[in-house]
Amino acid sequence: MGNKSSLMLQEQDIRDIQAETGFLPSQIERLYSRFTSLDKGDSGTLSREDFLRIPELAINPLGDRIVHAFFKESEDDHVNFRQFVRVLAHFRPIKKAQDNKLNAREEKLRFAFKMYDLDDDERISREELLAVLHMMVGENISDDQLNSIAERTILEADRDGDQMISFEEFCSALERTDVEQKMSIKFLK
Amino acid sequence: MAVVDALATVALTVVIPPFLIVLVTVLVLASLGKSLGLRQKYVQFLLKVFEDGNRILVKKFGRQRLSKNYGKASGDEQEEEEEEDQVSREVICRDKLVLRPTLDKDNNEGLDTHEFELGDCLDYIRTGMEAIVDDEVTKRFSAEELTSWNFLTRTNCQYEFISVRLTIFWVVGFILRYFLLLPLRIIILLIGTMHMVTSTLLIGLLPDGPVKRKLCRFIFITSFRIISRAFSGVITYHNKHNMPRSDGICVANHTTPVDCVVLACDNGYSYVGQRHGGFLGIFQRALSRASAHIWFERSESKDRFAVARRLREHVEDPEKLPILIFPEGTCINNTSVMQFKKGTFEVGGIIYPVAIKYDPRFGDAFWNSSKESMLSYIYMMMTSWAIVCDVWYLPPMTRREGESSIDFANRVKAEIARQGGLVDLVWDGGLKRSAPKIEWKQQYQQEFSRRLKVQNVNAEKKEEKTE
Repeated sequence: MGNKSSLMLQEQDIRDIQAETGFLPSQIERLYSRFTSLDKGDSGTLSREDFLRIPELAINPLGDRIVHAFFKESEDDHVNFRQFVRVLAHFRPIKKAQDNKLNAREEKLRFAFKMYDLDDDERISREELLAVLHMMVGENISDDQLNSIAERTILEADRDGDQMISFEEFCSALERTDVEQKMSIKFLK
Repeated sequence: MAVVDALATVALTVVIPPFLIVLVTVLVLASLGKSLGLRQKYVQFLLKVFEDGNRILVKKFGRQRLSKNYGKASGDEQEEEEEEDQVSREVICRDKLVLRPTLDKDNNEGLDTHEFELGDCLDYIRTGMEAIVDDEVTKRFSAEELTSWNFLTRTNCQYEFISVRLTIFWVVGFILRYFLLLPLRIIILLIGTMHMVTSTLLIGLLPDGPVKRKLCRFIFITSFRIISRAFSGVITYHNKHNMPRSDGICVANHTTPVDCVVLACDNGYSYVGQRHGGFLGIFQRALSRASAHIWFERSESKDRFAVARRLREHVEDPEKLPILIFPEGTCINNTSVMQFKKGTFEVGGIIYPVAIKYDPRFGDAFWNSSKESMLSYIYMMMTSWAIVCDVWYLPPMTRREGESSIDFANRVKAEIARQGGLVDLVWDGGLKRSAPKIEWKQQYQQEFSRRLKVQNVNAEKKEEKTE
C-alpha cells in the first residue's frame, strides 16, 4: 500500500536527501514509495534480485550493468534508500539555476564510463569493451567482427597509446554527444 | 473486562432484532434481484464524507497529490478524470524508448546503420534507469495507489489522528464496518454459500434438459446476488443488449475472483479456470454439480489441449450456458489489461468482450494471490466500504478472415481496455510468477546489431542463423 511509506521517511531525512541530491520533497516521497514497493522482502534495502524483478530491466541488454551501478557504494550487496536516490540523482536534468554536482555532465559521463569499466580500474581495456559489446549484440555478430569493432573504437579514442580508454579519453570521445539530454529522466514534480 | 462484557450483552440484545430484520430484508430483496437504492445512497454518502475528509487533509498538508476532484461521473467525464489521476500518480515522464516483449519492426525500410560509438549505450542506460523508477508491469501486481484517503487504515499513513474531526469519522466508520457490516456480511455470505451448495446438489439430481438449464441459471443468479450483498456490491451494467449468449465465449479482464460473482449476478455462465482448493474450491465443486464447467490445473500442459477441445464442444452445444473466460490468466490490479492467452481465440465462434472496472475508493478489489490467501482477501473485502463497479457489455466480435488468433486477442483486449479506461499492455500477466523470457532480450540485441555497421558485412547470414 503505497501511501503508507511516506510516513516512515522522516522530515529530516527528506531535507538531507534534498540537500544532497536536489530532488524535491514530493519527488523523494514518490521515489521512496517506489523503493518500498520494489523491496519485496520488506528489509529496507534492495538486492540485485529486487531490481531484476522489473521485467523491463531484465530484458534490457545492459540490465545487469545498470543494476551493478547501484551496488558500487554498498559493501554487503544491499542498497538502502539513500544510495538508491543518490544514483538516480545522476539522471536529473541539468538546469542552470541549480548547483548540484551529482547531475553534472561529468557525473553523467562517469556513470556511462562505469558501464564499460568492469573491474573499476578507471580504464576500459579491449576485453572490457568486448564484454560489454557482447551484452549489447548477443549472438548476432561474430567474435571476429566484434574484435575489429573493439579495436577500432579503442584506436579512435586512445590518445596516450596505452591501448586503453581512460575517463578523459572517454569524455573527449563523447564530446559531441548530447549527454545532458540522453542521460536525463524527466522526473515529474 | 466485566464491564465490557455487560455492555456487550446489553448492546447485543438491543442490536439483534433490528439486525435480523435487516438481514432478512436484504436476503429477500437480493434473491428477487430488487434494490431499494439504499446502497447507491450509501455510496453517495461515502463520497461526500471522503470529500470532506480530503479537504481537511489538503488543508493540513497542502499537498498536490492529495487533492482530487470527487463526484462519480459516468462515461467520458470519468475517463477524463482518470487520465488526470494517472498523470499525477506517475513518477516520471517516460521517453519513447520503452523495452517491451514485442518490438516494432515495421520500420525496417531505410534502416540507417552506423559504426559503433561509445555513446551507443546511453539510450539503454536511460531506459533502464527509467524502468527502475517506474515501469509498466510490476505496479500492476500490487495494490493500486489511491490519490486520497478513504478512511481505511490499510491505505493511509495514520491520517486518522491528524484532526479531531477525522478521528471521529474514522472511529464511526470503523464501528460501522467491523461491528455492523462485517457480522451482517458474514451471515449473508454463509447463507449465500449454503444456498448455492444445497440447491446445486438438488439440481444435480435432475436429468439434463431445458428445465434443468433454466433452473440452473435461476439458482446461480439468485445465489450470486445474495453473495454480492456480502460485499455490498453496487454493480452498474451498461449496454445489456450485448449480453453474452450461449453461442460464444465471454471474455473479461480479471481483477479478482469476485469478477465471477459480479458477472453472475446478471447472467448465468459456465466457468473456465484454474482448479482451486479451500473456499474457492467449495464454489467450484458446487457449480460443477449443477452444470458444465471446465476446471484445469495451471501446471499441466496436457490439460491445455483437453481444455481447448472441451471449449469447442461447449460452444457448439446451444443448450449450455455461455462460457466465461479471463484470458489474462491472472489477477491484475484493475489499472490495466495484460496480454490475453491466445487459446480462447482459437476456438472460433463469437467473442463477447466484457470490461469490468472497480472503483478503488470504496475498497481495493484486487486479489494479490501471491501475497494473501483467499480467506484473508475475503475478510479485507468484507471490512471495506463496498465493492462498486461498472460492467460494460461490448458488441460481440468475431475473428476476421486471415487474422491470427494473437492479433484477434489483441483487438479484443484493446476494446476492453478502451471501454474500461484501462491501460492496454503487451506484457504477459504470467510475469507475476515467472521471469521474463530470454528471447525478449535477444530481440533487442538483434535489433541493435542490425543497426550496427560491421566490416565484411555478412550480418544478414548471422541473423538468419539466430532466427
